[in-house]
Amino acid sequence: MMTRVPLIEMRDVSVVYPNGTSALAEVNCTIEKGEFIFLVGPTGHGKSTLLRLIHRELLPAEGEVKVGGQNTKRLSCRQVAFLRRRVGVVFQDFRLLAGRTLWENVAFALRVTGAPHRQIHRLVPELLRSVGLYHKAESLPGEVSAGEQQRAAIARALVNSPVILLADEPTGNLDAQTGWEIMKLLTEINSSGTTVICATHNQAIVDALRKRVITLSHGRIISDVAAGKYPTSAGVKARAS
Amino acid sequence: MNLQSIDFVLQEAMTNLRRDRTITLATVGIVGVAICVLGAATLFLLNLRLLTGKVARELTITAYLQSDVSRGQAISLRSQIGRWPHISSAKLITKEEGWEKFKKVYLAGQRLEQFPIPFTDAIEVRTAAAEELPGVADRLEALQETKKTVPTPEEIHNLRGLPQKAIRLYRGVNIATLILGGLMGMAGLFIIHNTTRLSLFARRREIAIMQLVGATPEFVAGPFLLEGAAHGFIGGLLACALLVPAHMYLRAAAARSRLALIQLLPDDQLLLAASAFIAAGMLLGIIGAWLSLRRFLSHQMESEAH
Repeated sequence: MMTRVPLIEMRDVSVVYPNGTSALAEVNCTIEKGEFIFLVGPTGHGKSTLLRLIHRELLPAEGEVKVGGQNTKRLSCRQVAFLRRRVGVVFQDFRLLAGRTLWENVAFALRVTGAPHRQIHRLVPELLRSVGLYHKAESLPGEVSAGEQQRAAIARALVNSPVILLADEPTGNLDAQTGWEIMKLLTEINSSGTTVICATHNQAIVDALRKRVITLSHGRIISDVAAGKYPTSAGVKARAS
Repeated sequence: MNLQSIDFVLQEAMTNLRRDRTITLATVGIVGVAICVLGAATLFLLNLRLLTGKVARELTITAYLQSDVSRGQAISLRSQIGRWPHISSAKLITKEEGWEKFKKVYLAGQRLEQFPIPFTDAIEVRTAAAEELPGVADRLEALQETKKTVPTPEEIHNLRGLPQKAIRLYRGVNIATLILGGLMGMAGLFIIHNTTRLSLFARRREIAIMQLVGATPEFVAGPFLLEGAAHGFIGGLLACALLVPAHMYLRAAAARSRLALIQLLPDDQLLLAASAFIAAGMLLGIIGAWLSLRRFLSHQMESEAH
């Protein structure tokens, strides 16, 4: 019988920044393909650090991180580049290129990986349509709303058909309604098979979507609750009364 | 790398050059000056070498033997001359060797096999020092086996120590050019290194996005290396635009004046030197950019946490 290899695996992972701050301590977790996971916890307690480990922006000081069965410590520069094509990332501040249109921003991610022109001209309109931005393709980031910028960032993150999508506070700069729209989009992406890991402070979203929730505190995982079992704020209040 | 990759690298490099025009102009200007100074010193050295080469050939006396001197006698005579005092070498040039050399230099492509060899055996003699030339020339001229010597003893007596002075000057300029070249090269390298750093800083957001979405190191580095090469190429081109006409002018002026005996580099060698200067500029540009990139990219790729 073949043992299924988890998509992401962390074993005894610790991360210490050069100034001596311990960002993560003895983190152990596994993430399977197709999961939707929320990372919750106060600011500065390790959520972004955990995401950066998966994206290989950081290496653990101790322990090992495996993505797709590969130990990230043993990857060469080129292998890191190819890993990142399989891991899309979305940030709170969108990180679009200000001087390029939304079309060019999404296309940029294909151009820098050597994609043929035909593929670019086929995929970019498709992706912009899928996030509802085809009609704004020629707009600059500064000419569209924050929600539209985030959707463009999501389109860019999806351009290489990633297996994993990391979202670091994707609704942080958005109003509640726009935030919901983004989360709906992420849920749709997840339902097509992409593993989504979303770091967020937005308790309402976490409560509503009922996904697996990993809670971090001072760089340690203090709880890892399966989908549907995370106690919502309303549930906690009800039990208390 | 496929065509699209090359297209991307070219486009991004052109964008960089156009976007940072002031920095591009400043870099090209300084690289141009560096190569100009280096180029001028190198051309001076090459011309001096040409002159001392001519003089060095004049340190050689070729004694052409009588046509009735047999090969065996020629070999014996060579050994005898080789034992004379102040002789550093005595080499037998057979008539066949002389004829082949003559045909290659002067009559290339013409079929001369049917013609009898017009030369005789010769002995090429070098002295240890230029001062010994006159004495050796007189002795060679006096040999009964010798038909004629090139140069003649009268011509050698007229040199008046010029070869030694030329050789000393050549050595001095050689050293000065190496030092100057090293300094100019470092200056050019430094300026391109700094320009690339500025360019990298200005484009750090784009580079971060490129790395985020999985661009390989060649894709990230390519445009900057090309930009460095372009800086060096244009700087080299500007330097040559100044040096080549100036050299041609000096050559023409020397030909018209009393310095007509001093021959400056001919066009083919001048153009070869100019190509080397441009290539050196490009190499300088690539190395300067690479040094900047290496540091930048290794900082980006390595872990911040240990």
